Amino acid sequence: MAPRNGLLSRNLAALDALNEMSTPLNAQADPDVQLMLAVQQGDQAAYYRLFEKHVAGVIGFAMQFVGNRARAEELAQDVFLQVYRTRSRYTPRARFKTWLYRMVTNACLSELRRPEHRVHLQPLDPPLREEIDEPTASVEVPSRSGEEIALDREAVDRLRAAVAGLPAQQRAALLLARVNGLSYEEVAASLSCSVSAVKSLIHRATVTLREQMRSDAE
Amino acid sequence: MDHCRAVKGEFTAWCDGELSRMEAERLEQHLASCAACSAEAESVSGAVRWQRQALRHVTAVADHECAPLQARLRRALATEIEPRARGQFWSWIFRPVAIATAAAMIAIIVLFSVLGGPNAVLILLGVEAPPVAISREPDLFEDYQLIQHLDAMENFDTVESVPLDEDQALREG
Repeated sequence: MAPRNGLLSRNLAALDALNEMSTPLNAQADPDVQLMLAVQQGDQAAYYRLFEKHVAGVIGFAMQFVGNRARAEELAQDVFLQVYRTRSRYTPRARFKTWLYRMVTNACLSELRRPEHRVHLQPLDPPLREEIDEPTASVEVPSRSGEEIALDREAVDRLRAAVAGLPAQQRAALLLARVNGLSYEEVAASLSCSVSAVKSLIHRATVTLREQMRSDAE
Repeated sequence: MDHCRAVKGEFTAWCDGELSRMEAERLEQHLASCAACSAEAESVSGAVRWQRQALRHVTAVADHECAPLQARLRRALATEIEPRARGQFWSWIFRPVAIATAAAMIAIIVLFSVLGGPNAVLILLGVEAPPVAISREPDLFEDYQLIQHLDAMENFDTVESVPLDEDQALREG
């Protein structure tokens, strides 16, 4: 599917802004940057390596905004096509992931503005649901006090619903930092806001989710 | 209390290691002296650790589930890349032809400008008749008749024979 022109132009403007605002980065520091530079030189194998490395993360992120797997995949495809089309504009001034998720975030937030794609979160697709049902898929998370937290399917579903209830900016900031491993500065670059705004967004999202999970458990 | 409210907003960033050393020290000093904030900080810290793990499950997509998308992307890209590659092939084939054509055009333009315009070349090639000026000012073109004559001699069969009386008049005159 061809990306919409509006989305492409917004992303191009955002990428240019990212190129300007970020400090120069040693390309050796990020292997993905090396791959992207190879893509710029016409190396298609490098492009598909980047795709394989990041596509699952992009789909998982997009699903939290568009609410269904099929649309999330379309959106991921649009974003990766944009990566290829805008390869000549890429300058290694930030981590590749920051550059990529800036496009992904813009695409997701644009999608939310479209009336026909209001968020209707659906249950997990069957394969993943089964995976979590398996005992080995449960997660035990140690709290600070040493208490072990078991995460079952119900907890994941509750958390998903709680995440879907967060305002879009909070949701994006939280996922970028907690799941995709971006620093607050990188999240700020992705969302085109200040680091202090990101601090506030992530703190409010964290506290809201905690309260939501507590109230659901009671 | 205001200080507590301001500090609470920093708890998540502190847990994520996103505070500067000075900011972290100031916050930790406060926690050491405020039991309520200390308890809240511990709670936020637990939530951050839990969410870090749990959110990965919420967004989890297995790699093998992405294979169909990769196939679609390859197809979508092929429509962009292949025509371009084909275009490059044809441009490689036609490049010498294009260069030769351009060189010929330049040569013709130079020839026209040196010889005084397209008519000069066409006359030279025998496509067009010489201008009337030649007959009006024959001195300027005295060699032209000779050339014409020599040309006629070469193509003797096609030249009509000159009537005898005219030929005699020419000799006498």
